[in-house]
Amino acid sequence: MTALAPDVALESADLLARPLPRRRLLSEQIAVSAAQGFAGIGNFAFSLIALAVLPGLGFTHLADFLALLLLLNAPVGSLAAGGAVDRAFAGRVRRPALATAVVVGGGAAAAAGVLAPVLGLPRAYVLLLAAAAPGAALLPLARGRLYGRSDVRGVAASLVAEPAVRVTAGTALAVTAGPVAACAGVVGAGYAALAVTALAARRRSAPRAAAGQAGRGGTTVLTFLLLAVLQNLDLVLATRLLPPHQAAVFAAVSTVGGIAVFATMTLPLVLLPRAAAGERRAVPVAVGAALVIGVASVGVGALVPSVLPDDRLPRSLLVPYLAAMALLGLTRVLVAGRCAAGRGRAVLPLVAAGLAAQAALIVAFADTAAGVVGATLVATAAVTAGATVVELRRARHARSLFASLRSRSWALPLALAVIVAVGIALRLWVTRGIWVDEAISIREAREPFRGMLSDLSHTDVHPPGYFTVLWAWVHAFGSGPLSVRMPGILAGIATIPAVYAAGRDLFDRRTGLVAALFAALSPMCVWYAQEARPYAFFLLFSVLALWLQVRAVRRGGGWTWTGYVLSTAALLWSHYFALIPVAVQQLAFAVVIRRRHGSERRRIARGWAASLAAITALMVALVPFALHQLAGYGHRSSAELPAQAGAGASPGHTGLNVYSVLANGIYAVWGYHSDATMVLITALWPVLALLALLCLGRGRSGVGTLLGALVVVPVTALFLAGTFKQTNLFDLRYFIGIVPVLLIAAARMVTRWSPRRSVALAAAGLAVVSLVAGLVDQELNASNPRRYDFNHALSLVDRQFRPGDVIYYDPDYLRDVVRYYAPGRAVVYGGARRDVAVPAGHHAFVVASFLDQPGVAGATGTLLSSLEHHGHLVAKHSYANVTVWEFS
Amino acid sequence: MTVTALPRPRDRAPDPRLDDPAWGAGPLGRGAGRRLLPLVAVDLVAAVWYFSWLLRPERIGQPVLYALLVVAEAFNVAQAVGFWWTLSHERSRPRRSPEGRPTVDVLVPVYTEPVEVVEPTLRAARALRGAYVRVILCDDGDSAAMRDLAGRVGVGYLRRTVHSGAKAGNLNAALARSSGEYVVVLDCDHVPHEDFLLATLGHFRDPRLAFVQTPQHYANARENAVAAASWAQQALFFGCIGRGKDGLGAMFCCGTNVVFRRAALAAAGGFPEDSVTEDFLLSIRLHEGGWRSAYLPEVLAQGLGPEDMASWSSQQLRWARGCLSAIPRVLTARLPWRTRLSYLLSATYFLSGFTVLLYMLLPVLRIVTGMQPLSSATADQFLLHFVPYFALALTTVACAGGGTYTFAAYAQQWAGFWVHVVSALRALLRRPGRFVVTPKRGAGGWQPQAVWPALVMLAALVGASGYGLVHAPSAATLNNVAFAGLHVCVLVTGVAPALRWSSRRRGSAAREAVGREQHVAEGVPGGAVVGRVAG
Repeated sequence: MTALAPDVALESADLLARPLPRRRLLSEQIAVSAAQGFAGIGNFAFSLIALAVLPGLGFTHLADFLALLLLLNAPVGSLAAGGAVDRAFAGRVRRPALATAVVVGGGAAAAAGVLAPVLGLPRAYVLLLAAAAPGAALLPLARGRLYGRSDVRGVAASLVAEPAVRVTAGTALAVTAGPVAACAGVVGAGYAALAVTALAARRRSAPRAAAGQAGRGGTTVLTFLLLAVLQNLDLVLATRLLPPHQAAVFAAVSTVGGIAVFATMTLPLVLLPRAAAGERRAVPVAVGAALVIGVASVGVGALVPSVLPDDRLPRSLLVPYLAAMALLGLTRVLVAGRCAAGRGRAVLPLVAAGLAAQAALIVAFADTAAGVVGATLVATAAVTAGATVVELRRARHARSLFASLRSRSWALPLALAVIVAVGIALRLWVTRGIWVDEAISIREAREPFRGMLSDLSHTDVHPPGYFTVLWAWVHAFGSGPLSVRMPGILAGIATIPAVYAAGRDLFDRRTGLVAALFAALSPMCVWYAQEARPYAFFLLFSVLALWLQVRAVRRGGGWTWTGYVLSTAALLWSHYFALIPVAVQQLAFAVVIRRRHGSERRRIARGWAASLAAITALMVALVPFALHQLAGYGHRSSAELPAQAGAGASPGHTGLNVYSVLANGIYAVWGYHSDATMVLITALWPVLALLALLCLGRGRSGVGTLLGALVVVPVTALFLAGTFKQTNLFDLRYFIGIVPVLLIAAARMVTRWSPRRSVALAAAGLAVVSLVAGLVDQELNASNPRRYDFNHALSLVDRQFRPGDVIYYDPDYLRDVVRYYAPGRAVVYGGARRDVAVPAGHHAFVVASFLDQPGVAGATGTLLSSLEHHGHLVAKHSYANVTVWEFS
Repeated sequence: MTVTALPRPRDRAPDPRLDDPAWGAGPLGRGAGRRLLPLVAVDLVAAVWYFSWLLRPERIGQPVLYALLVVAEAFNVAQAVGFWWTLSHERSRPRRSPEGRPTVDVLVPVYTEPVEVVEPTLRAARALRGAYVRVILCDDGDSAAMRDLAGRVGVGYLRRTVHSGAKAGNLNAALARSSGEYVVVLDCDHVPHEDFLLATLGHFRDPRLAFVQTPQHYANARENAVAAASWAQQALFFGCIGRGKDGLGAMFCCGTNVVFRRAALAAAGGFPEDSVTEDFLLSIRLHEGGWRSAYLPEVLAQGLGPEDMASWSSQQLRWARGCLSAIPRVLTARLPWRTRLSYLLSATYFLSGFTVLLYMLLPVLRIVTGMQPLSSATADQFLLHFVPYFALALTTVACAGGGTYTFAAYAQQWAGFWVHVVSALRALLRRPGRFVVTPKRGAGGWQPQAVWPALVMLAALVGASGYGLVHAPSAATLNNVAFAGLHVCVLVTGVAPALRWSSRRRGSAAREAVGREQHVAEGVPGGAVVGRVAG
């Protein structure tokens, strides 16, 4: 029994008897979030005003002061969570907290002379920091009490008071008395907020509804403290570990990206007392709010023009970081739900493990700002996934996670939403620049529509479906690196629920959910979602066609058949090799019709005939286009076509062989890796024998046969085509439709691995860990042979370029990517020219790639010899699969 | 008030042997056997493709290991080809009702089994239709309870004064005291269906037919992992292999659920008492004497399979010992070549433990000593030649077995490699085998001693893998570690039932009886004892 006052206990019991309407819970969250938003805007406005009115050094000191104050507030702020979940907590902790703050503040004031040079601030600022310490300790405790009473007005007033005083008094002081006075105004704003909070707490009319649970405060504070560390550790480590330029970039990303978590900061605090009082709808409402705010933050970051140039605040880093912070916001809500239920200890190790993982990833992999962003994203995604599992287990109390998914409760949508959120974050975490094929896509998309179609039909090998979408997108949103990838990213995101739907209808919800998780984490799905090429569409429409085919056969409504027709047509308009899985599906229709009888057979046969006719009709316009492309392709030299490194097979093997099948199989599941890693992974092929043995006695079904055919037939067909055609047709890109099929099959295997749920969960966990490991290595390992770092190579060239300089590139198909990253520069195809010289008094840059191909290496060598003969080599810069030479 | 009854799961009999069988031994649809023939043809091509690569002189790595590998692969491919050959002769007999109403003696040998296990068998035997049936309880345990049971159920009761010849001796004693035209042998836990005789006796219109064998079915396979895996192995034999042997005219008697023509038994001199697999030897004698055999692929009796690894090992040891001992007899018998070959395939199957042992030792040797059997063989080449053979062979087993052959069954067989090795060595040395079995009170629980050779192998594989990863972490090492990992996974699955702390199971009395039955078959009383395999 908890030691609650009788009136509070009665009110709690009353609340339990009559659950609050969802609308009220939502309005509470909205009101407090709005106040939090106001606080954010107010503080931001104060900074801008200070920037305008204060002298340069004065503003620098003010900015440093605010940063230190934030550093002080971040951990102390966790105390609010304790007060929110346990009303007696504030009373217990207030005196020791105040005493500690006074001692710390007093100590800081006494040692101001010593601390000032350490902190790089004048002594007055240190004294002000010391003065702020007691208020910083008391304010969260006081706010926690208001949260604990669900006193929305009081909390909102407290949140608004601080920025209001800061903007008014702080600005006035800044204008009239300078930066020190402005800082005093900031400290005063904190105390003003404390006064408002105290006044609100004394109001007689204040609600005393949602009383907390005694004894839960300590664990809650500790958990939220760890989350605060998780939020800020990356900045601390990045500052220490990264080179200055990268550290500055990350600082900018972290500052702006922190908006996503700031915006969701109050959600768990409002949630805590309600959930502690047994309000079952509180968690779903808070989760929904966190998802909406998170997605909105990411959307704003992705689409709203940046105030800073891309090299200081790269959007390719900002968006995934926003996603990471949005996930952290979601995690805070889920963790609050557990803490409120008195199960904080269940999530404490999870958060600690996430923290350790984040630190380990940053230390091990992160040598750039992108690496730190990736590490944070992976860590927050992992913690979010773990917290979701813990929350779902609670959802059905004694039942297991999977059992809870059978019900029609909020558990399933929540799980799927979190999986999609993780998938969004990972797809927005783009760690590589534009490569050759993407630059071609962008060049084509920038042309007028007719010009693009003409270009496609003469120079490309793909149908125009994807390019039409890209053309519209580029003309609407521009051709920045993230913008041109957005169609693929959106398709990649949509693939996740599509995989869920397919897995659910092919097997069951459990399989669908695990398959969706696999798809969200799948390195290959992430990789091609981030490429401005048609492969993400290939993936998406493959899954949709499969899903809708199964639904059409089983239920066969008009909309389902229409959906099947449209997805199949979109698939064929996206990639010609999609014809192979489409043919397999048509054969599946024929087999099904042969095996069915009576009206069922007639229904399916009619639908099939009509759909086939419709698909054929939709393909008619594509035929002349394809024939034109085919004729052009036949006349083209193979030297004109780029081939990705590592595309053929494993190192040491030339041509197609069993290893190339194995390598592509590994790519399909675990993504692209360095040659050394691939050698090790392919050595594990005996595991396949184990998988084959495990299939013994698993039975045979029509669905299983269809999935098997959708994998085996495209692989076999393109293997044979690659063998006989002697071109590199056997590349996973061209049969990427097998990836979701493999993921669904793997999910089925995992969920049916054993009748024991613990074994199934362990298998799923193992699969997830392997996928995450594959994803991290693919995205962060610079030795990934598919990674072409034209971005950094050409950014360097672009920065050092002076009028009169010239950029040579080799091979010829680098033209578009060079022009993309070095627009307006003098660029010349180098080839094997022997007559080139460095312009007098200027520099010549040579940008070369695909040097593993003998022809390219020879031509580049000739070009370099000529330049070296007429000038001298200043520097050579090596990037992933790209080399830059600078001559003068 | 109206009460709506909730739907209930299908009613299950308290004794699983009284339920409907969950498996039919017949082929999967019309022409199923013929449909496998193209697959068998491709299997042969794949086998030739593999061996044409394996037997090239440049493949010889470490000569001894290479020789052993070639012998092992040759043995396996011989078994595989034999399996495919058997499949290609599948025959599925229909039921055949008898003309008239012949006299049949149903012999139920018992030793010390509980009454509640035997009683359903006796009652079902009494209810057999289609003949004048005389049921005889052949009690070698001198049990008063059994005598009372026989009196209560109304069946004949026989007790010997001299207990020689184990089960065969017991049956021979009953044969001497009975006179029916046909003799049915039922193990005491095998409950026959009332149509047992109606379905089988009609086949005796063939005057040279000595016996009709019907499948053994483990009714407890649905409830116990060991029984399930054991049953999955049996299902392959009593499914496609049994039908194939019938097509080849080489089906042998399996000791229970079988109907004999008394005249044939008499001509063969009764059940041989000098073998632990009296049924196998008897079948050879009958075929040698020009008699024919038949297999009716229909479950007409249901029994209980071994429920723990000690019982399973005991059963396998007895079968392996008996069949391996019979190899010389098969080689010297006057049998048609097809029959002889079929018998030889069945008997030599129990040598496969040596190949399993070799396959598990190869990665250990490679990691620890660097020795390997093959040279000039890249993994790419090996996979190109081996994968089609392996994958097609596996597919054939899966298809032929109709999906009944499971990974658990494979793992159980793999983990029981030592049973075959021990049996072969004892047969070679002509020594009676002895091994300790777990007391039945512990059945289903912690029985590491029943699988200790597999545990030793497991330790060797894990140890070698760890050593390799620490000392020479290269791709080659990783490949062998992966091989070792494969073996570890299979072994762990195989021995897992012996390493579980499980609670007592449902219907334990009936299941305990199975274990005792195994000991009876070995001619040794049940309980906390040692099973004697021979003698």
